[in-house]
Amino acid sequence: MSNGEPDDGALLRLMQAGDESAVSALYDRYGGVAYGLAFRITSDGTLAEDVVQEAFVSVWKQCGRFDASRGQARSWLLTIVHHRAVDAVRRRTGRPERGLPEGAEEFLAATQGRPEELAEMTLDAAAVRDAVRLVPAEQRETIVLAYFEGMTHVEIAERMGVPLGTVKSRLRIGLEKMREYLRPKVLE
Amino acid sequence: MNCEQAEELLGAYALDALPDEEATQMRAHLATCAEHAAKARELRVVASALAETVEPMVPPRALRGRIAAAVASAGEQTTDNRQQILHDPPVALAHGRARPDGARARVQWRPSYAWGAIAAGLLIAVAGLLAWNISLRSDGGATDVLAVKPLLQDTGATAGYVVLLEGDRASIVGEALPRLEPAKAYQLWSISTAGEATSLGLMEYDDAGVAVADVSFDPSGTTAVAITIERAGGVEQPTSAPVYSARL
Repeated sequence: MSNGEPDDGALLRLMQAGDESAVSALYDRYGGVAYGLAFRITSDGTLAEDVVQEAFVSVWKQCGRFDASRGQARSWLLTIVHHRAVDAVRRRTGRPERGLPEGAEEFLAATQGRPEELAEMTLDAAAVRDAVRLVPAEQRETIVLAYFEGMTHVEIAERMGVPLGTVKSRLRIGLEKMREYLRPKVLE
Repeated sequence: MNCEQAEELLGAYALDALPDEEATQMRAHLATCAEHAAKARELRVVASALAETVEPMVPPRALRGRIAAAVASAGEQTTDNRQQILHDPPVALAHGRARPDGARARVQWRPSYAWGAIAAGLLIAVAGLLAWNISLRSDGGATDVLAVKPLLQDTGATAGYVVLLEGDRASIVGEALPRLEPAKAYQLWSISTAGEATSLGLMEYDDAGVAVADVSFDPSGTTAVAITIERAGGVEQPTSAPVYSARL
């Protein structure tokens, strides 16, 4: 980092060396975005707090398995927050939990592609928001139900009253459009 | 699942919007289709970027302290909990549970339901595919894959996968299992619905140093495949808690 603070990789290495204060440093950096995401999904401050706490503890417990040269700690943390928040809100609404994966190895394996395409995929908020806006409304709405409500495609089809095949197509085409919009920025 | 079906499900898969059974089928397909595996990784990165659209919020001030306290109390379980799990003491099999004191409750004979439902896919990286393909082709003939199940701890940590094949056969690939000292070996067990363990034999290291095994067993009465660390040559009944298991 330009101001002399350790970057995320360095914080991970400190954690791996047993430095608990590095978790607080990571929290100071990403606690706000983590809490914002958890609150967006749960709409419940107390639940969001629990989710964020669980996520940071999970990062601490698993940091020994996270290779910072292969993935971004920030993305991993937010993936954990997302999955835990989805489970929390599904539990609250009586829907079965998804038990979505959050392991370090799984995250790295699932997101690591050819370096020239994905390794630098640091997607700033403005670019992603632009990409989302670009997606037609019905596709965007479908994606939102999947990501922020944690719904399966079957549940989305029931909610929206459209055929399952339509939901599948909307999810795929919508994400592909976002990818196409974001790809040039990745390759810069 | 064929390529056409998988293509249609890429978006739902990337957003974790597939029901468990369909997700498992998708992962099995991705394990054999490099083109779709690459597309899935790309779309998953895009899907995870949706988190960026959320405005950061100021968390309650007390949360920072709560996390620090929680980390301090969890401190002894890390930073290398794999090593700790490898040294876990024996567990009572009959109860199908880890030690009742809960000190290391994550090690269970029966994989937790939630994590068992996750299934394989996400961990199946290119390196794993190589080992897997070698394993599948070891008998020289075409092999139909019925399912791919992840070897998991209930933390979500993965060590590889169990590939269920036609004819009551399976290939186990422990690509993330650390190599053991010569006096020890990874032993495989099928776990019945009653929690009883039956040995499936020992894992061996392939040319790349990956612990692998090809086994035969009847999956109908089996709820899980588990791996323990035993003395070289194996034992009749497990003497330690499983380091990983795959729910079938």
